[in-house]
Amino acid sequence: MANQLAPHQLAYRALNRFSIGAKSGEYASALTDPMGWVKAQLDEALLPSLLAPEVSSQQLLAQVQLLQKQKRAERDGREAPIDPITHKPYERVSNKLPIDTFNRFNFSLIEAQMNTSNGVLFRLLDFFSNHFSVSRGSDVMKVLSVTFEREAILPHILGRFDSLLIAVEQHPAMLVYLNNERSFGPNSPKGKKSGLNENLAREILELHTLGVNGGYTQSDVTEMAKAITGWSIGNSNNGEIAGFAFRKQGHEPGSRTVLGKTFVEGGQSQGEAVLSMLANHPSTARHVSTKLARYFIDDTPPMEVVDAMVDTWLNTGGELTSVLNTLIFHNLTWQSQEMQFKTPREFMVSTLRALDTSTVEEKLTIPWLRRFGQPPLEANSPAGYSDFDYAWDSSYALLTRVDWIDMLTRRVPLDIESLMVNTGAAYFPPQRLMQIENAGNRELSASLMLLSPDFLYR
Amino acid sequence: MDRRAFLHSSLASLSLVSSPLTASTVSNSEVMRRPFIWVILRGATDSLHSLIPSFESRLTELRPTLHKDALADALPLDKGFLLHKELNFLHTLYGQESLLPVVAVGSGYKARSHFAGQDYLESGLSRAKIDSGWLARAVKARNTNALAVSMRVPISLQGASDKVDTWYPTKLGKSNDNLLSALSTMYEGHDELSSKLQKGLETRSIVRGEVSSTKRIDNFAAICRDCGIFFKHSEALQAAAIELNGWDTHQNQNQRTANMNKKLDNGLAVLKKELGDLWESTVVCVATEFGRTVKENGTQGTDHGTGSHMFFLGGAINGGTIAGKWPGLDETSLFQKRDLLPTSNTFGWIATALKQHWALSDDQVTSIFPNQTGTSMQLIRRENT
Repeated sequence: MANQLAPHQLAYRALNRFSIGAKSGEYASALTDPMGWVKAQLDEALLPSLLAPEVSSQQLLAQVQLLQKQKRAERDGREAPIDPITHKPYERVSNKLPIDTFNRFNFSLIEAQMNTSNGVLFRLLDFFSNHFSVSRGSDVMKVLSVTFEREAILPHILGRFDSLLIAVEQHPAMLVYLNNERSFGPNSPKGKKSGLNENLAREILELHTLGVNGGYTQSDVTEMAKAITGWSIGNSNNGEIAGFAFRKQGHEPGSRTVLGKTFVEGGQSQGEAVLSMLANHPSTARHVSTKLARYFIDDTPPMEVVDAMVDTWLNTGGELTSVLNTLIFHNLTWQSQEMQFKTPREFMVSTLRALDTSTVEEKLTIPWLRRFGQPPLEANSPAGYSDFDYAWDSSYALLTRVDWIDMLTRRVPLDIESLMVNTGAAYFPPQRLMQIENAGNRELSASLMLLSPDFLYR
Repeated sequence: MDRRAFLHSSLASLSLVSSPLTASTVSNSEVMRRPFIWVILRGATDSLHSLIPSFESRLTELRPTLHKDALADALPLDKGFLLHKELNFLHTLYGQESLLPVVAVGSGYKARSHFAGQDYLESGLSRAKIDSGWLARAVKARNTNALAVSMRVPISLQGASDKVDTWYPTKLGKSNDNLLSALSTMYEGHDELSSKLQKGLETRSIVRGEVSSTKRIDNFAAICRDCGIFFKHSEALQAAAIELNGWDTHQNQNQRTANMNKKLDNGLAVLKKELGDLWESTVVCVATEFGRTVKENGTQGTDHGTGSHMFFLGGAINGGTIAGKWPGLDETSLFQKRDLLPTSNTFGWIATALKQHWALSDDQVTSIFPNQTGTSMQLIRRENT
């Protein structure tokens, strides 16, 4: 079938569906070879330097655990916790450490997205962070949620899905968010005090792997929950490492049966074996491939593309780079005519990149994402934010974007020439282009480009 | 051009676009206004902790830490059912016969996924469709307009885009009129964007005129307040959907149920206050995607279950009694030996309420809920129909 889209439309798709919007110079590269431009970024060697180094979840969790102990001591009028080495009280951890850490990480991610030349990888990272959605809440979740995508997701986005899955389900952020850290087997020594909680197990099957119609039953949920009993986190106040901890005393003894397959007792490895089976299950391949195709193409991706991705998944044991290459190089991927209203994040990041500014006031970013309804790590649902167009497209959404653009264009330097290139304005319909060029001032001209139908949709 | 002048000129230039909030159709001016407000509790509300069967002695054993808390200071209704202690406003309504609690209901969805369960509850079809909601179909049948007080149109109101508006309470923006005017020119010929811009501006001007206080109030209360404001200002509006998230109490349920019930109760009280006289002809329907396990889990919470409860409230409701059939909590009476068994269908109750409240024909009810005929119970006060 002949490709009906013009080269500039293909470039716009490469830049706004596969990446996070164009910065200066990128439009020209994508115009020459859209598929090649995308593929070149799927390189594992680029991953380690994608985000600047930051403090680890282990250090942060230990500090918050100490903070909690210090607060309890103050409340109960007891002596402050003592450092066993110096025999003096530990320095008081600031009450603001959790929220300050949360805000710092989130803003630094926006800045990294503004400045990167590997937008495709950031878009992929966004996909999996939302697929494995965790939310802030308690102090512990504030510090864990922000480290989660760096530690558990980023290293694996171009690897095998089973490694990604195991890393995710064993990260303290996920264990705490879905209450597995205190889920213990009814027949384990610890089970007398605290019992089973099936929250994480259900979401693994429903959201992370098989999908809601993937063919599991309530008994599979309960068996899955038992297989991962004892997957917990350590407490630094008790001399443990503040990270993933397998509590043998809380693990349900015996073999488990999930989806008709039997998994013999093996402590921590029992749950890992179930996850590996799930990662390579046809329902998982289809569920995740469908979501990927929807994310990178549109709400109703061609079934042929999804089928091809599923084949690749099953033939390669879930090699994500191969699955993504199947998606990128499929002819039908590039023929979608349906335009999607950008999600708030897509709109914000593509706007900031088009403006080609290396930094921006923090208050123009996260607080506005909150008003748009998509603040980082606050989906407050393990299903994450919706990928569907209907979830974002409303009169409220449009008007709030107008307010933001109006404010932003008066507060950042405006290079109209490069903005025209980055938004693809040269290809706008002539009448619209004329209105933009004839706008009375540069703020208005920039606002019209960024709020044009051509740029609001992708 | 000042804002007022711009609004007027753009209204004139976009005369083809009529906003649900300003449009008045012939039928609306002839038919009495009867607001129907749909409140979705997302996350699966634990019925046994909110509408408490005090006569079920097994609960003390099945829920060692939860049941004692549920009973403490609970507010008595009839037939041995109690309301959670934070539901004071609802309790007062019950005394005034304006609250109808329905026990042991379910939508028919039985697989315990929040997201599929919510889609099912909002779509109201035997197979959930995310582009067709039952409230949207009802709005079409009544030929009226609806408002979603949320950042997006929920599935319940999908499928009637020309009759549905969105609004969400946030700090009001103030884009300059030059930009708004240039945008309305740029969007000419793009029906979707021009209608959205127009609707958004009108909605905003209504709230701008009403809300002056900058006092911080609870988000759900603000949603309820703005919902009431729109009903006062818009003759053409007869339906709204609002939502309250956060009912998924897998742990620490005692405290979380108290917080959630308090938010719900307070918000509904604000809604009544803002509706003023209109409250007398209003129906509010409150429901959740499914219930929670009868047995407490290992972390002082409950896991996903099946049957739950729903509330009808409002001046138009024929309440002050407990509706629905209680199945009991013996092991043999439970659904799959773990959940409260639904003895009647959520949509059956909604279909009945809509039919009586909006005087819909049987065919219209079938167009909204293809599989429901409703109950014979009189849910709406007779003098109100």
